Amino acid sequence: MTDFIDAFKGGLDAAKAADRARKEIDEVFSDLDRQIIEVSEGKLSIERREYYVTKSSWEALRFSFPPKSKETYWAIVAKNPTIKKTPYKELAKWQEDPVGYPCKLIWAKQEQICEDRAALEICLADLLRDPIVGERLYVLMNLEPLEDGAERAERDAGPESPIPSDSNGDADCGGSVSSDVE
Amino acid sequence: MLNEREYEMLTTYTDKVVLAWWNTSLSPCGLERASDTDMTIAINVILHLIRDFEVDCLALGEVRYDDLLAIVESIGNEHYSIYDGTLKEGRLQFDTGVIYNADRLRLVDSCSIVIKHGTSSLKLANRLDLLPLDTKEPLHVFVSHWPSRRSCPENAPDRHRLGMELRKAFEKVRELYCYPKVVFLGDFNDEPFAPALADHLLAIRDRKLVRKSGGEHLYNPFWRHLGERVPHVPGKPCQSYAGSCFYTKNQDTHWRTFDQIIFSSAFLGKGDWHLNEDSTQILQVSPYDASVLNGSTIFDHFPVISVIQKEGIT
Repeated sequence: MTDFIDAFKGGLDAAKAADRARKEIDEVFSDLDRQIIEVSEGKLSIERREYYVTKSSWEALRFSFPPKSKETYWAIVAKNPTIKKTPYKELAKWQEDPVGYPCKLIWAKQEQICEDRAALEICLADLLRDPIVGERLYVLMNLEPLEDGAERAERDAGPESPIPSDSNGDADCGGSVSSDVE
Repeated sequence: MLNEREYEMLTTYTDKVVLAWWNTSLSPCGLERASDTDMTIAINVILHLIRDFEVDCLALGEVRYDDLLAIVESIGNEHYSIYDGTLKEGRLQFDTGVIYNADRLRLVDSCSIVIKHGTSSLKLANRLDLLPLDTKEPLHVFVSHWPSRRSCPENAPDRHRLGMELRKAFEKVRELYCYPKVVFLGDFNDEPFAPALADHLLAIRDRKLVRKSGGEHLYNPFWRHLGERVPHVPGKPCQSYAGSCFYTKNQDTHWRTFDQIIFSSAFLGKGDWHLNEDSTQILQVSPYDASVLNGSTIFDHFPVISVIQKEGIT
């Protein structure tokens, strides 16, 4: 007779291992965010955020295949929590295996596949060292709060604003999936 | 219903793309080592590929950006552009690049794929998304130069990892469409039968199975290039070749077929672009071949070439 009990236990172990891996990844991002908040005196925060792939971002590839309906992607983004309606700057695309590792960072025409915590930490440090990423963070950190209307106008004019999913798409980032746009 | 012969007679090929890979040996791991004479030999081989074989997409291994610039300058054809894949990241050095005919192919996107495990990194491939002229069907080209057997032995876990991750990269493209046009080329430092390529990437020798499957199998025509090219004839000594690279110091065999071009099933009847297998070969370019076989120069690889052609029925 097939040993279903053993298979069942194996599945539970695998689920626990996946849960541990995902928590470990969350922990790495929490450490990253905590350190960035500290060093920027609260003017920068980094998180992962889900966006809709928009028609315009797909057409930028000049292929003839439209994105699937409501197709989404994840990105590592930075925001300035001291700004009421902070822009979100995309630093890298983010892909995570359902069991945690490997996870993938995509930026500057590179795909970095990280198979464990050490690799992920090194990769995130490389991301922060990137001059273009550094420039984005610098600009974000030095944003001054504006009047509500003006701030909104400036934010929406930028190429990387998180836009609610039901508004017109944005060329680089698409609309944010979550409704908690700050 | 047309039979095979009638079909062949009515079929014309309206367009073609010639692809080639050559591990030049000029600058392994980005380290310059070629003399002026070596560079002249390399340029002559490349000119032969471009002028006589009309290669549209020439992927090169063991090159630096300066090598690519010197080569394109020597070609003297303004239509050829460079894709510089010679990424350096910490101790990791990609040493591949592509020279392509921009009059026939448009480079739409590209990226370098790296696998990180702890503090070590592996270079998996450079991916180029190309659009052949007048088509809206992208051609996805993965260019790989995997680690040597010295740094990563035959059955090392990293070899399996490379095969599995290249497979995942292919699956990502398959998410976009059922039968994507994907070509893998490079020096894998593995034979076609190695687990990384045959078992993990699923690059097999069985065309029928590739056609029958739902697009998951790949066809590796270089299974047909594993052995001696010319049959043994008693009493007649003949110069033959039994692979794409020649290592004089190897004890078990001097020949290896590490350089390969692998195709997705789209090129075996799942679309209007077809692999021309007659034109798929290891090129023994004379007099360059002598410098490979005598082992006294830096060169130890032959170029490999293949053709895909677009079908149109008259």
